[in-house]
Amino acid sequence: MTEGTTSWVMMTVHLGEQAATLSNAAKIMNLPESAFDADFGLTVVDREKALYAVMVDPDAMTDSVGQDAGIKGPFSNPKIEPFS
Amino acid sequence: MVRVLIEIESHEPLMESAARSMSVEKSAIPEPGIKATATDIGLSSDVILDTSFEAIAVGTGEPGADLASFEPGQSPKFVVRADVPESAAESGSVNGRRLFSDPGIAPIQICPGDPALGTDIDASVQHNIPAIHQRGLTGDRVAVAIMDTGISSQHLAGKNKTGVIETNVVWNALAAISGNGGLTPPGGHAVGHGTMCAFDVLIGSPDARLLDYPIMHGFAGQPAGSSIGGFLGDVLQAYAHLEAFWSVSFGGARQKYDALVISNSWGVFHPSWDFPDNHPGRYIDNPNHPFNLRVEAMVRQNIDIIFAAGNCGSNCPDSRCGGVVTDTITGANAHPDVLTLAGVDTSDLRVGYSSQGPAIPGMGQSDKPDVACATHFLGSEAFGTGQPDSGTSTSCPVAAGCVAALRTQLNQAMFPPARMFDEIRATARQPSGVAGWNADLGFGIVDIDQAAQSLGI
Repeated sequence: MTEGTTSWVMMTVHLGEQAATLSNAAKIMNLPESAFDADFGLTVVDREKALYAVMVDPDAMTDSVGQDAGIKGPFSNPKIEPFS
Repeated sequence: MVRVLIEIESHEPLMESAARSMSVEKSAIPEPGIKATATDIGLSSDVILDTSFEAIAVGTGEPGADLASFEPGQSPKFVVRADVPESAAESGSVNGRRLFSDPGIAPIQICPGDPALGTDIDASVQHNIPAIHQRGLTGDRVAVAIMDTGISSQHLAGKNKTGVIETNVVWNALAAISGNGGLTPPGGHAVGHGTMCAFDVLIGSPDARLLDYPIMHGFAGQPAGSSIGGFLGDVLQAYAHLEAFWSVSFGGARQKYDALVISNSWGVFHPSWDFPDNHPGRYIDNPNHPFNLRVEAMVRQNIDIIFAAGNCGSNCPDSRCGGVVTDTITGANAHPDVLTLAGVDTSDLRVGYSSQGPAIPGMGQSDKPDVACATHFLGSEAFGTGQPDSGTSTSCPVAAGCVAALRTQLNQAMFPPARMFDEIRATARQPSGVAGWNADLGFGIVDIDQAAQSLGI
């Protein structure tokens, strides 16, 4: 991720039995792949539960995103700094 | 009444008291400091002489007095402690004698910018690390991931720490912003915070191998390693990357390492950096945030995760805390599955900036910090010659090094993180002598030798 990516929205998606690909996440979320931050990609949160995080363009978000129980968000992506 | 020091002319009981205090052959039986009453030495009866306070020979009581005049037998004046009426204290004299304030004093807590107190060797002794090294607990075959700004192996080599970086794990987020088109190899970063953390892990685990994760690569245009800050999403990616390497390349059948420890000296300084209160996607008090779920998943694989408590202690918080000094142990730093570190100086006193408990409500364990480790000592000098390793940023890797040392012989499956952390908490020592948890130091200062013995190693 680079500066400016804070404008992306962090979401999580359950992929179930499906292969862990951004393409499958896009299908479940009913969004085009171009709506996702390719640098962040599909980042595993909990492999056992098939739970993954993605960064989505907020302008591409529709009301239907979030209706599916397997899709959650948006989640914050706060700035962090060293404790020194 | 006001406690004061009174300057008074010589009297036999004062000479005896001062002489006794200077004697190397003090009586085994406790004696009063002064064998006299106030009236015996010419003071009025409304003055209450502190007879437990031995008289002090002060010569003439004026600057430039001959050293010989400080001998009790020759001193023309002495100082005693007493309680006097407030009116006397305000006037500056009692019964014609000068008096001086005797204010209460307390140990001075270290604050940001203060000079170092002690060295990494003192920190090692403070945590009983030499004892475990003698038993071979040195972190051999243990990997410690440093989630930070990147490590300078060159600087570590200058501190006689060579061959400590695992070169086969390359976290490449930095490449995206470096602008030079190439990866910065592990250990190839500028000297800074990450190098300090690396050095401090090696205090407890000199034989551990460090995995260099420069998650706080800063922002475009800033040089690698020297910048500070990043975003939580970077860490989420880094943890996923680390898990993949651990499960595929290092753990399991490959068995290059027997255990993995993660050191995290970072966090969110102020709630305003996060979503607003009550937002369902907020991080700092939400166990269901993806990063907090990520931590839970890693711990489920028996990976030891250590976090700094933070630098928002009430005595002298970091300016980035914005004056907020309660509920400052937040997010993953407050996760029930991790070991959360407060900071003490090498004299066992909490540093004034170390975040105090309880943890922010909502994260599931209010009793944070868990324990304390040393900080603000002269160690890596990553911030310049003579500059201390500071912050709970230092306490965290000191603890991570201790944990990694235990992992030399302690299998992560048989002794999962929760079990080990329980022993570290139970064997920590409270400088106050009062056992149990407190908001400043948690369960106390880590005694890693006691923890090791308790775990049978």
